[in-house]
Amino acid sequence: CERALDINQDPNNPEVGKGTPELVFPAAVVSSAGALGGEYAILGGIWAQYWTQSSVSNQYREFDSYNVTQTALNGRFNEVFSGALNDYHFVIKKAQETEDWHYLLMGTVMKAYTYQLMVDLYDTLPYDEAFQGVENLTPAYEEGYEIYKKLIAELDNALAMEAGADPVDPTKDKALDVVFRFNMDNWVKFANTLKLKFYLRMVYAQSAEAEAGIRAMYDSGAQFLDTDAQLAIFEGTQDKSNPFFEFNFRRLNTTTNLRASVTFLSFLQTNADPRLSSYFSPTSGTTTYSGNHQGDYNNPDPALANISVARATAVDPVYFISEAESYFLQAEALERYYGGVGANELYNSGVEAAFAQYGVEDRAADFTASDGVYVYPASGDFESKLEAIIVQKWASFPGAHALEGYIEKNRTGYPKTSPVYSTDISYVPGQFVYPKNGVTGGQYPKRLIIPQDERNRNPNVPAIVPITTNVWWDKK
Amino acid sequence: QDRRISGRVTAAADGSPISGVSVFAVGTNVAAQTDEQGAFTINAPQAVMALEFRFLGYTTQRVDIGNQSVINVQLTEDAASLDEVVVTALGISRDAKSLGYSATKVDSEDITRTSPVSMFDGLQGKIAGANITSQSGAPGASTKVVLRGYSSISGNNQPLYVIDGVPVNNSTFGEAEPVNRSTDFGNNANDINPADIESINVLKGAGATSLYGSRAANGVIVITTKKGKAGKISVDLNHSTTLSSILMLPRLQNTFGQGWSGIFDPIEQGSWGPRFDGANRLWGNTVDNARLVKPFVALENNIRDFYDTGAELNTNIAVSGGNEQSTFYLSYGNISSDGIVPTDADSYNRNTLSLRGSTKYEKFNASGSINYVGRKAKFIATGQGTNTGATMFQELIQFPRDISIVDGKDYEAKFYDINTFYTPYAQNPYFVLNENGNDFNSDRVYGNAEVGYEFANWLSSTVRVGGDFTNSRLKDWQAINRPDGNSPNASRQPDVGGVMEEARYFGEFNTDVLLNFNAPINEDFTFDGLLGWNYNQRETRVQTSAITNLTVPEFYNLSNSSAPPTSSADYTKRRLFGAYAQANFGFRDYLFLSLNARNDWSSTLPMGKNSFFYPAANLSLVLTDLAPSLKDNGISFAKLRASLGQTGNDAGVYLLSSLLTGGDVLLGFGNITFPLGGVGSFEVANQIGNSALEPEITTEYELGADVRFLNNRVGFDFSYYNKRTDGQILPVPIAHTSGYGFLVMNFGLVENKGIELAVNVTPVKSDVFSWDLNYVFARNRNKVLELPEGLNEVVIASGYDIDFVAIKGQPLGVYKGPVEERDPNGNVVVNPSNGIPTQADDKEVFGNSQRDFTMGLTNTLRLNNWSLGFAFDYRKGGKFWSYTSQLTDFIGNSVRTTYNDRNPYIFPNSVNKITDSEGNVSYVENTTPIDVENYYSLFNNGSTTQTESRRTVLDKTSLRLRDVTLSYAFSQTVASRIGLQGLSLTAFGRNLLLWVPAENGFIDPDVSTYNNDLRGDLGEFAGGPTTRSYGLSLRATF
Repeated sequence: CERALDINQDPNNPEVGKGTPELVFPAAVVSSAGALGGEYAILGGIWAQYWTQSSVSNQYREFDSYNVTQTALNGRFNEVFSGALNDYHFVIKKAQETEDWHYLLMGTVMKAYTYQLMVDLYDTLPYDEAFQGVENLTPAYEEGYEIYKKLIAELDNALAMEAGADPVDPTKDKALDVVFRFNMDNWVKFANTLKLKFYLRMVYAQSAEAEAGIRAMYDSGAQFLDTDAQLAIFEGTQDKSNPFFEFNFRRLNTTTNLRASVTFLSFLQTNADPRLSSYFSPTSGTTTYSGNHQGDYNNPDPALANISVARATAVDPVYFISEAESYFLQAEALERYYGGVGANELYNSGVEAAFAQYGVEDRAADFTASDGVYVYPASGDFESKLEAIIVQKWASFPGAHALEGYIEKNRTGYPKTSPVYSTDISYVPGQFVYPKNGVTGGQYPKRLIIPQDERNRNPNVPAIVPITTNVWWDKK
Repeated sequence: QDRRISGRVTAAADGSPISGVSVFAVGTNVAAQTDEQGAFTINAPQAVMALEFRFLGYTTQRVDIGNQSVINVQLTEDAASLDEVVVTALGISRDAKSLGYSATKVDSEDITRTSPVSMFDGLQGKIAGANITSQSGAPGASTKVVLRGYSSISGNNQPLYVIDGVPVNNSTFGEAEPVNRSTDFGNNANDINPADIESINVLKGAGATSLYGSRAANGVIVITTKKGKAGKISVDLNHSTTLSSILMLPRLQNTFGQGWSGIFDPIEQGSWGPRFDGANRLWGNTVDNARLVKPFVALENNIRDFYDTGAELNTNIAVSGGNEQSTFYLSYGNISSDGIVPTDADSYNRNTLSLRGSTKYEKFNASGSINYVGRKAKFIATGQGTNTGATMFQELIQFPRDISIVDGKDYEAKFYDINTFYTPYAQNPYFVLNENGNDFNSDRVYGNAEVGYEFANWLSSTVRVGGDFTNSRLKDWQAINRPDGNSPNASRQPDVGGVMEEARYFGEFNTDVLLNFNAPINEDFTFDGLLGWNYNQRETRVQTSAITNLTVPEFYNLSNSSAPPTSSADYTKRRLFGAYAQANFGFRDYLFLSLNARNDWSSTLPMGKNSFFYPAANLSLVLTDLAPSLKDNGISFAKLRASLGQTGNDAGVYLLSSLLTGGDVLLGFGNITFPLGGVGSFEVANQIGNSALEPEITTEYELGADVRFLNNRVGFDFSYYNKRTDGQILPVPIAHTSGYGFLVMNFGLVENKGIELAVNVTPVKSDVFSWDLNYVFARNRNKVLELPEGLNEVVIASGYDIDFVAIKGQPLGVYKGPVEERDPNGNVVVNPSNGIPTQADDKEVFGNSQRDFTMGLTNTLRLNNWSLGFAFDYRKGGKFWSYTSQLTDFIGNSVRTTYNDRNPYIFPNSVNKITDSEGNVSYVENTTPIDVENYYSLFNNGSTTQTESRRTVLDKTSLRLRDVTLSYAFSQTVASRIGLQGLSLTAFGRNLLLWVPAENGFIDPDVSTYNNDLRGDLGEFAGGPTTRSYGLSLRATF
């Protein structure tokens, strides 16, 4: 009788003990890309004022009016924690058990990349008590700064272990590393660039620590990314596509929710930026481009049904840190701590790499030339240089990378905020405006609210902080 | 010295022998039983003066012996208890008066009066404590049966179905994704041909059901099928033809027409345009330089005109007969049904074939049955559709009030085809109807074989083997619907088309071995009992493949896509062993005690801890037999009963360990699934397994009384019960920051308590005219008493922003939704730019799904050969969520969108919120009116912001005229003149009238598109209308 009852092994799913880093890592990376390059990128892209909600549909009205509550992004928050981060946790644990230092670095870099953006959005999150499963069902919350420090320490540890590791087994199926095909040099560069991004993010809140950290990297000859850290394995079919495309273009019954915001469109048009036709489709039935003012989705003007729509394709990569972003980060570091030596070149390389994402790299030199519209203000003060760097970074992010544009605006204040709405005669193209239907009384959103599933299930979630309250590093 | 007395017991009615009659020598413990021929022999002591003859359903008779040595007795049927032989657990018949729990029996005639497809159609509102609802008006739709309220949060609240002592499968096929595309091809219990049913017994409480084991915690529906009878061969022929039509459609506004933001727009699918003025307007797209023109007036019946009359043919033929040793019963039934939607896209065809027989040889008896059910069905998908294709009901309800739907019948014609249909925001429902569809086929075989042996008068044994095997196949397809890039509808997301095929197998195998004791101890005490052993195995296999993006249009095969099909397979297998015992004691025919207990061993619980035990006891006291003088006071029968019992329930399969699952990233809209880029990947599953699971236990006590007055002309049957289900096994939602979303655990305590009352009155009774009145009332109160530590609520299901949740201290299943933000004084915070409320951070509870009470009233009047019956069913209170109401709000079609005649108004008691640069918040009176441009935004101010969501949760109250029947039975003499034994004609109507509260101007509250369990109480997502039907049936017996 006992033997007849011993039939409860699931024939449909393998037991968790069968998992290995090789098996789990790809799904974890895709989970990071799917959330941060999908719905979070849509929110980020609206808040970075690349896009505004169409007036003839209504998918993203809450985003565009800053009317976000705990219901917003609930599923994505869950996906990041129980999908991406928990799987990195599994990969790291297995890698430590088996002393597989390559996977330790890969898992740690992707975890740190993913965690940082979540901390940047939610400010406080569980860290030490997270991912304990049944051992701790209600993890305690920690300050973002504490989490930053822990992530940087883990990156340092993973880099140190990788430095002493044997080369990657050449017989390994390279496709299993969906980011760098086991080019570990690139993983080290990704880790260094990510550390640079961590330190620059805290530059106005913990300036001494940021400076020390950056100087330590340069002093030790750290190499930074000179290629894209990206996920570029998407296919042109349903359920296999770039998450921004799949979410916004394939799966919604209206494909035209995201329209060109006058904020970004005016910048591109003023500068005759050749990426315009990659970022947006022309106004219906024309070869020219038009946009709507940020958040003016209740405008009944029927002509607004035809304005430019955001563009993306199913096989677009999801950038974690793009080559251009790496150069811009380095340029900022050099300006801050090394008197700007080499910053101009890195800035120019950044613009060129950003143009190269859309196949117009041969035009970049015209723009960065001394008479070009994107010329580096080499003789200007620090703020004018920082503005040039951040604005170019901002202009490179639309698409699955859009969230970074919003976060960097909060950190640096660039692009600048306009004192008037974009319908005003004195409006300066490219400056942020408070959206027409905003519900936060003129205040811009600085964070998100921990979503409702987490609030309902974890009594340790802190009380709701208004979305207009700055996160810990936002001190400029 | 003993006297040897022999004789024969026969039935007074027809002289047939009665076997199994207990014969007592009064005053001693000497007893005997009659054999197959009704013969008995008893050795009675000399002192014995009389013999007593007792048999279930017959009046006990005492005969003075005098000096007779042969005593022949004729027993007469006991009028009071004739209808009260109840088939209890494991197919055992018992006298109703000995039962310590409530059991409701329904006979064949009541089940088949209106020639239903499902055995339940005739029972709605007629059994106290049984909540029976049809899930839609579609032919073959599934039926939900809930006895004494929901007790399981995890969602299995279905009763166990038992046919002739063998449990059968009641799984459903469909309900894939309620929000997107769901189909309901019916539940397997509805497969059973009502014409084959002799009676149904509804056992509600744990005291009655615990012998059935794990699956009986939600009650048992015991079905006894028709058998052949000794005598000449009889042929029963039955045919009905039924027509059906719409019962309820949304009640929509007829004041404002096509447009948006108050402005006429010829390509909008909404009615947010100007007031109807009768003027001619051009509308729709310009095609070949031409436009359509129509007067700007409401078309009040534009949706109703779309529908047809449904038709259903129901034919049954049964041949039965037998002799003293053997009987047989052979039947064939066919139902061919086409619903109210034009075309056969909603159709149902069922063939049933049954063969049953029994035989006896000396001490052996054997019986068996085999049944085949073949189902073919097509179902209109509900939900909102996907990018492979749209769904029809959703398209039907989003037409402007002035646009004709039926004009688009030729969906390939100019102005109505894909490219030129008047709007890019919706689709022509005729396209969806004709081009998207499904085919469902199912073959099911079930039956049982039983062999019995009588070791002695008091000891017999039965071995019963049952099986139930279903193979189903579903093919579901959607056509490519892609507007040309330069057509007026180019901005619409194309439907890429798709095909899904699914094969399902369900098999159940069940064996019971029973040892029965029946030992009349003496004339005062009786005892009978049983020992049993049970083995049950259930197995499922589901294989699904699907493609999207059809390459060749209108060709529906899994090969027809540039991308490989996505496939999945799911297998489950579970086994259970049970050992059980029952002992029934009787004292002087007025006091009865029954004890039973069962122990189960289940494969789904941790090895070594997979055994669980649960007992039950029940007591019955017949006051009128204890104190016969009560009968002199007009009380013809009075019984008190009490029971206390437990039932245990094992876990679902494969919940004990944590697993890996194939890589699948949820994006919110769409997913990314592996394999991807030539790589396969698995992720750690979001559910934590639990190797310490324990069975869940339901404990129930019940008190009741059955009292009849005035020669049984007035009867009351009352029950009170209290049922608690503890240690429910459920994947409990946990904080995702733990790394997981669910933890399988035992938790939660749910209580159901309530009262049930049945009243039978016969105001008039004569040979010529009689009037019977039957009233039932039930009130159930359920409450979630415990949830896991730290967990505020468990979400059972969600529809848009409305969550259907379990909250501690509240009834199981409350609705929560977003509400307006308020200032500390309770004023509504509105957006100063448009006057529309902003959303508060927290959702609020809008009410629960629990009904205040239900009641039903059935009247039967007989005049000579005429019989008229009608039944009302009233269900008061409770809520349900309606997407139909939400969509008709959004589109400006619902009546409530005409609030204030759509003139600008300032939201009552509204304020604006001011946040200064320091983050300090203050509030000032709002002066921004909601103007006509923004009026629609009030009803849909964002995809996730629905401050008005409260209004989509509606009152579920309904009053129905369930059925009306008018029958004429031709007299025997007339019938025999044309060679018949019996002939009757019936005109009937089902679901004829429906009254709902004014706030529910949308849909029949019985409609659910989620499932036929607790989740289904969430409500409907673009469900179809219910129907009324009326027909004629003819029954002839040869």
